[in-house]
Amino acid sequence: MTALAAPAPVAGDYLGRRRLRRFAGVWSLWALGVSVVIPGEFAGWNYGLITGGFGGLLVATLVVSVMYLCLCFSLAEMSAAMPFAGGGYAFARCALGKRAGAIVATAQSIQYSLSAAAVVVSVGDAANEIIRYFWGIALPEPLLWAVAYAIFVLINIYGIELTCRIALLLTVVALGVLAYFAIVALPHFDIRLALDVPVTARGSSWLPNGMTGIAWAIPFAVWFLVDIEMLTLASEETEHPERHLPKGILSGIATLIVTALVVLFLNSAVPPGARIIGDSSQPLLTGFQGILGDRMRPVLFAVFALLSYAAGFHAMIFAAGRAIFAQARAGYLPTVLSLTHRTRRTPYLALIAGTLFGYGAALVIMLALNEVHVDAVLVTMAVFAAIVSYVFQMISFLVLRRRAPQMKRPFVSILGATGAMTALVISAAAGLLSFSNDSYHAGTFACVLLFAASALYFQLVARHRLRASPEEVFAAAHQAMIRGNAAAVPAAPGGARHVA
Amino acid sequence: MSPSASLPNDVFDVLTLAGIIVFLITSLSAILSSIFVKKDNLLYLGTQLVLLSLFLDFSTHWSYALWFSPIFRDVGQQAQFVETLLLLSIAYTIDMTLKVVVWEGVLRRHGERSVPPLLIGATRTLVYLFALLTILQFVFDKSITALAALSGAFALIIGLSAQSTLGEMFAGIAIALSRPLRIGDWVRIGNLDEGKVIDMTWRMVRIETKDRMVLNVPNRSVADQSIRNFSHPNNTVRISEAIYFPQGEDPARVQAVLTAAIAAAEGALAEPKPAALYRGVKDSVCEYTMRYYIDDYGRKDAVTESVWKNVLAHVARSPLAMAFPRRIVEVRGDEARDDPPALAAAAES
Repeated sequence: MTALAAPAPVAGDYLGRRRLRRFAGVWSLWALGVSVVIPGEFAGWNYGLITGGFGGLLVATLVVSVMYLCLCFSLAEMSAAMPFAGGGYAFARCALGKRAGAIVATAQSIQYSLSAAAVVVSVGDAANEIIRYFWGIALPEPLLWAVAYAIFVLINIYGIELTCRIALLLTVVALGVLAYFAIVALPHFDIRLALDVPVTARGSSWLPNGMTGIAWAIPFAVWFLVDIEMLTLASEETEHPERHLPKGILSGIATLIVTALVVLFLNSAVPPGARIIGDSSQPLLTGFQGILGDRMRPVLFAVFALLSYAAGFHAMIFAAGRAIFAQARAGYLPTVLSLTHRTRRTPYLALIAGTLFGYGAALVIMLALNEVHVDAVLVTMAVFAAIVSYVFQMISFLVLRRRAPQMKRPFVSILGATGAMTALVISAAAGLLSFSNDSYHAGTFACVLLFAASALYFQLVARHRLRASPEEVFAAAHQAMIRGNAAAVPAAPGGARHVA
Repeated sequence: MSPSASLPNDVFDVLTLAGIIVFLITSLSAILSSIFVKKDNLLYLGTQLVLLSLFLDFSTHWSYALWFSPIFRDVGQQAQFVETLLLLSIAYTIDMTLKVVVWEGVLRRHGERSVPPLLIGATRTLVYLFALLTILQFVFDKSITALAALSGAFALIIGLSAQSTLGEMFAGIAIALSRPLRIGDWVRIGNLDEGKVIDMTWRMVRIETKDRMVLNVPNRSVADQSIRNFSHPNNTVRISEAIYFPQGEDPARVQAVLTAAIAAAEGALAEPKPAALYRGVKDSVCEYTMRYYIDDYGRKDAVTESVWKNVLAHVARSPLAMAFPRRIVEVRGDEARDDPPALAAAAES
């Protein structure tokens, strides 16, 4: 890997035209982190009730929570030490080199662009439901997707301040809906309702499909927490990244784990029972209807659902924009994509590129492949990319702990290398479990094609045109420490915190 | 019992199952990261194993039929195995915590030396011995009275025969913790010669005196006596030397010449300022005390020499003249007559 060309020197005002504005504090980060995950608390997780039963999903949720907690602690350490917009790309680039950096950068761009596209499908469904209620017509979905994309991309281009405020607003509203549900559901809580999934010969009422049910429930438990790691991409827009990022990431994951357990218990153990809730496309609505009967108007829930999807959609567009921005700024994509707006200081071209990619992928899947479950394929691709990026980021953490213990680390993960190894083991296992499922194969294949295309671009074009972006400069400065003789490198000056 | 009948089937058992899965994975991860990253992760391994065996212990009533029936004879045997694992992992965790927090933590950071390996070994043995005895007594219901008495007697014999050595060792630990001296310090222990600490072992402190002799002072003696440390916590030491001038010289003038002379001497510190104190008339001359500070006690004699040379040079250039205290001893005639040999001796000398 050392044979690769050194980053080309930066000409003139290259970085000046690719600057972001710092605004986000702990609360903004918390809001972004929670909002990107919150659609998963509204729907998606509940299919795990059928595969694993309530007990199986509970065990799976706890295992997945441990994994995300370990992941977040490790990411908090790395993002405080390397606060660059590239997030995971910066970590892998520094620890593992250019090719690994290219893979993670691609994985992140795919993950967030396609997650946004998957959510826009749900946004379209919910919006159509509202439109049908008021006007009795249904609009073509691609049109609704385009409108949704236009609104939120414009908000994102308008500025980081507005982006953070909208994220905070949507997060508070979505959490408010969940809190309202919890208050309404609590008096109706009956654990027997959560245990009414048909029991197979191998199972018990808590584990209707036996121990294997737990394994099958894990991909659905991941829904409760997936994408929280996008906060590392907000590094260059955080005011004091070395202090605020760890706090934002950890407070976000803590909120989400609590919310996930509340939703899991209360939404499963209320009328009409886990068997029906588990099969519902809108489990929260089914729960509301089960408790309130006809007093709850479906359209009201469509509004709630729309808000939660919008929260996630908004934050995913943000993440996709930053991932593509950082990838392009370093030259792994055409550098023009990393230009930021002259006054707004937002990566408008990257945001638009992510939109076109996500929207295009959704359209292609819908039209060319004639696929009915557009979002399922998109989610599969996003999850595959996420697992690739987790594995690489955790390996990066372990490599940095081993080879560069003296690197400056403003925040040190209390879970240490063991935590990162735990996240690595569980995410790799979750990946294998997900992809042993036949319905995931199409998406995985498509994703592998995207990775291959990106690798080809890197091999033929990008590696000769890398630019001295902050990520590349940092990695080059730490090259000797990580690759070469660690003893020859002096310890980081002033205020360095060494890993014990 | 069919396997499905023994599946966990209430909230406590399901949570126990989750605990087993989680801590199995974290234990595995701790081992993996110890191999691939850093050995310190063995501390994590201890805590993970404790939690794992706790959850396994809670699960015996269903996990035996589900998983362990081919391995263990009955539930009791499984419980014994799990409890043994639990106690051993607790002992291991204590051992690792001591290693990370005390041996390589508090004690290493305070004193420059590491703790004597003998003490670490003895503590580890005690921890594991205690765990083993607990396992025998409470898990396997074997009476350990005889064993405990035997090991007690053994400990007594060891303790008595190694009494003085052990005393030195604990005194050494006390010194390491309270830090009255460090390697490289200039010290004076009790009435012994002053010198530089060159080594501190678990039995003695080695001091090299100015005449290049090495004093080996046992730790207990170091711990018992007062220690004068010229280097730590501050390395500035004041030196006083008396000097005399005839009566009638203006003290202000004398002081000006002396301080200028000291200030020019190599090795005397500018800050705190050197001074020359007027101490009054004694034995018909005026006494002054030159005070100056040095920061390297090892060069005390060299600095003093340089100060005196400077003073002599400065005084020679000035109109001042030095005086020497003089005592006039009058020998009365009566007594001399009474004792002629003494007078003769005095005359001879």
